[in-house]
Amino acid sequence: MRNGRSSRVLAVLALLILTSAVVFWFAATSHGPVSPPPSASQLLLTVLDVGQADSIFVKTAAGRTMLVDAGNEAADARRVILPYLKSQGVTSLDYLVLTHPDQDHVGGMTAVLDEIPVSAFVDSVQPGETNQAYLHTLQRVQSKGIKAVKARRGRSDIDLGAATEVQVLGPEEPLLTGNSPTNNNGVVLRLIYGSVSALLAADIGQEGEERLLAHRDNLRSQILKVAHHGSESSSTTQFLDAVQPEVALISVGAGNSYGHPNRQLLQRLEKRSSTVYRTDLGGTIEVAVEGNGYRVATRKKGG
Amino acid sequence: MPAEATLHATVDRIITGEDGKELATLILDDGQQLVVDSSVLPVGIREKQLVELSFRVDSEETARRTGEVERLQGELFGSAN
Repeated sequence: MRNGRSSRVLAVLALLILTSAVVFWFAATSHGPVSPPPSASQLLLTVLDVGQADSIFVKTAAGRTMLVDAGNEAADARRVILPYLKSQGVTSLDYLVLTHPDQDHVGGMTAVLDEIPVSAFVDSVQPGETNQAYLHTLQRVQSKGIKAVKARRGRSDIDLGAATEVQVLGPEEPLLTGNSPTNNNGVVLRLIYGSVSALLAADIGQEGEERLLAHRDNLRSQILKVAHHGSESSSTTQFLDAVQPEVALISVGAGNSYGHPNRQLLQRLEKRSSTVYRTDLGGTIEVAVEGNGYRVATRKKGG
Repeated sequence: MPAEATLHATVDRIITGEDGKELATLILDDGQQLVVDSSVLPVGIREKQLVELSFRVDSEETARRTGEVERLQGELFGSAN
């Protein structure tokens, strides 16, 4: 009898300890984006909350992974990007894409390259670049023997598995030389999974958009990663008419000095009934594409 | 815009970092901060003094950096651009 009571007490104690451990684990991991990895039939597209910068993660149903840009500085990689990849069970990247070598896109690249194996580095390869983080990124790519891929329109070097088509829409030779050439020659990708398309417009402005429009590309995409943090000089009326985004994802820092996202741009999106998601207001934006539909979820830092 | 634009910043604090380096935090009048190794500041600089920041294009360093990037681009991607 005494032995039976002792066993019950021990069992209750063990249960209490186990429950405490589970509660502690949940409390300890409930800060930051810790949503479970996507199911085997989903494509996950995440706009990470790296402030006034860009970093977009893609994981396909085939398990292929791609990170597009890496925030403004190493701290973005250490505090946001790498913890998110870990939460998704990602231990290596198939592709690391640098849309263009401005600091708010290249700043965290070396920190990513130092922490996680990368199979291929995709770059816009533009002339006259001097950004030191870019220089260090190229040095890392070379010293680690990572495959270097020059992104150019029409090339199909990015393979995210049979179910996901990746179109490289820009940059195009000859590269643009007018206003903001670094932005306008950025890598523009269109992902197609099932009947859902997502356009990642980097920081291209009017000239870059006009070039895409001139090709009469099929730009129509339900999901648009809005160019240049919602700048007025991007996402022209003609461009938005061609894309017809149902949801517009804007990576932008709270209280940034540039006034992004621009009010007129938001009105242009509103006029087209696009639902806007902003990292400065909602935090990390996750789009899970499955079958012929998708759902969008947001998660604030610490939420 | 003059050829050599000038800004002022306050030396808000000079602190020795974890690695033993002495770091000066400069605050521009609009609140932006610039943290620099204090060795780049004039000898004898003290907290609360104002410094003048002036800028000039460093053509030599620009050319050196551009050349280094283009060499790497050529080696990695097959052609410089």
